[in-house]
Amino acid sequence: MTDTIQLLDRNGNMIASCPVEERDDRFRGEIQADSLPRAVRAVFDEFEEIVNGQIFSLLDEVEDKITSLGIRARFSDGLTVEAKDLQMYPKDGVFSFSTASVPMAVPS
Amino acid sequence: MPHNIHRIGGAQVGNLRLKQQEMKLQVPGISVNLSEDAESALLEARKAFKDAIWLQTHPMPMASTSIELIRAAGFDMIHVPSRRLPNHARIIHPSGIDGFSDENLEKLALAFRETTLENP
Repeated sequence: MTDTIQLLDRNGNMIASCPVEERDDRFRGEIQADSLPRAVRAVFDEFEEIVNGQIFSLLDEVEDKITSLGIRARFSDGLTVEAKDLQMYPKDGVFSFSTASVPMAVPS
Repeated sequence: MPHNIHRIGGAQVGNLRLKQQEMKLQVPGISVNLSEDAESALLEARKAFKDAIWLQTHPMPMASTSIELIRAAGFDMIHVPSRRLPNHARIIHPSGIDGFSDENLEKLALAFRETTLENP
């Protein structure tokens, strides 16, 4: 089952709109990272480099930066939640996040 | 001696060199994982980064060693757990960045034994 979510920055501005599917307690989707605000893209470029480069000594630091972005996810039914543990790989164009047991929207 | 220190990607010198960001650490070094075996080490990373295509690729070369062999090669190791990777550690050298010369890394590479994991 899929849904389309909007990723919002801390000010409520939409930074991306993407279809996602729920799998293994996470929501996963593809993203056109070129359309992200530069500051947001830079943080995730750093994250991708750290993970793909096995530079794990810097992992906590970049994850703090991700948390500081305050990104939330708005589902198609209007429910808006914190995009917890948000991981994004801009070059690969994929991302995922978890929420506190938010069920996928049930089609009416 | 247990080979409980693991480097994802194998023991080639190219995979043991310091990245630019690691050179700026207060104690420069490369990331390794402390686990009972290479499979557990790779599994921890794969579970932590399920969307990292590089990590999910099969087969994955792994390099495993012990603290004794690391020290015999002139290096050392510190345990630096992170929130996501509690078994994270860092191989370091007494000479800091300068210790990670290719000449020294060739000695370090010999301290590892390599395996290839298909799908832990």
